[in-house]
Amino acid sequence: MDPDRELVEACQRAETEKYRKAFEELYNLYKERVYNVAYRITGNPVDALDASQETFGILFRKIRDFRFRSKFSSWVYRIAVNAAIDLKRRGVARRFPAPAPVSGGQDLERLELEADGGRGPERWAGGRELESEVQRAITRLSPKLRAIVVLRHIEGLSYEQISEVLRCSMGTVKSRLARAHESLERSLVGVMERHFVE
Amino acid sequence: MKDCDRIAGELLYRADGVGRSGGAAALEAHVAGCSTCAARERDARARIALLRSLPRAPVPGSLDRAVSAEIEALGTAPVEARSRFVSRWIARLARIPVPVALDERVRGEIRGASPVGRVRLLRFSAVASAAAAVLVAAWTLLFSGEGGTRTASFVVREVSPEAFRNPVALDLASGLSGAPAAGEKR
Repeated sequence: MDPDRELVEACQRAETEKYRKAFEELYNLYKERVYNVAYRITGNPVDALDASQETFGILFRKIRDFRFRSKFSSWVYRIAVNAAIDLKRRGVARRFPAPAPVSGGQDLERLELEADGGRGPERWAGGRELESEVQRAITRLSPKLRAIVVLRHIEGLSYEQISEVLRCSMGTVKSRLARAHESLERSLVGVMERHFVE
Repeated sequence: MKDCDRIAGELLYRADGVGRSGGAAALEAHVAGCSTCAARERDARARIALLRSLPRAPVPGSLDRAVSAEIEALGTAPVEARSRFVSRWIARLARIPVPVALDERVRGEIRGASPVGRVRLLRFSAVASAAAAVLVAAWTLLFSGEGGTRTASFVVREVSPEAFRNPVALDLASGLSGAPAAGEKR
């Protein structure tokens, strides 16, 4: 059962006032996820804003045609990913001197490498700069690999859901993710050495 | 080394928290005795943790305003959607008589049908197509709502080159409505 089913059905059948309320609710539920996906794929706030607007425009216009053949959230992510990638492909994307970090790096400083059993890097230096460098490494990936990395490691989607979002097999998801990591490894090797204090 | 290359993918999935249950012990044993693979797995874990720790970007207020305008413009959408659906099917039906008539005409040529029969058939298909077109037009006029077109008003942004380097100038603070951000106009 799709957790968004009730809300989506409300958008599909409601008349004027209820319709507005249902859409606002849906927007509030997804705006942060959509904007973040767009932001991390495009690498800058201006393009992310354009892609998010386009995503919600498409979403609202097409919601009546949605038939729950996949999870609603997968559909939303698919539109967002395509909007962000298309924006880049159409050459609309602006050139930035460096990807704009979204914070002063406080969140990065809170990083805990729990998976490393505490043996890994323990402190961070220059969180803001680090965020820019990581974002730059993501932006250097091809659009398909970028989408996989963002959906998996930033949005935390399962491999199954990613295959539903991108309409590809699990094997493709895994191989693309492996390729993305190979590329990220090369891009981030210097970054890790510079920023992690052993 | 051959083993190391073979299990590289498995190490990545394990670092990502989706390792297979089958063969886990063999993988563990290999990693325990192979410094290259141990380092590779450690790097993968660090990389994944780094990606996961990227901060969430705050949603700009201008997105709220633009989408709010979009929702406003959708007021007549339920009727539009219904009429679009029916119009689409009437339009599809309207296309049927023409190929059918042409097909009949070709078959008629082969069988040597009389010219009068052909003229009748063509006349019938023309009348049927015209009737379908009138039906589509009538349906659209009756059910397309006010004006028949949606009027979404998106926010038009004017962004200076300085704003590209300064996210604050792009109104990255969340919150519904309020005055337009600097460098923005409706």
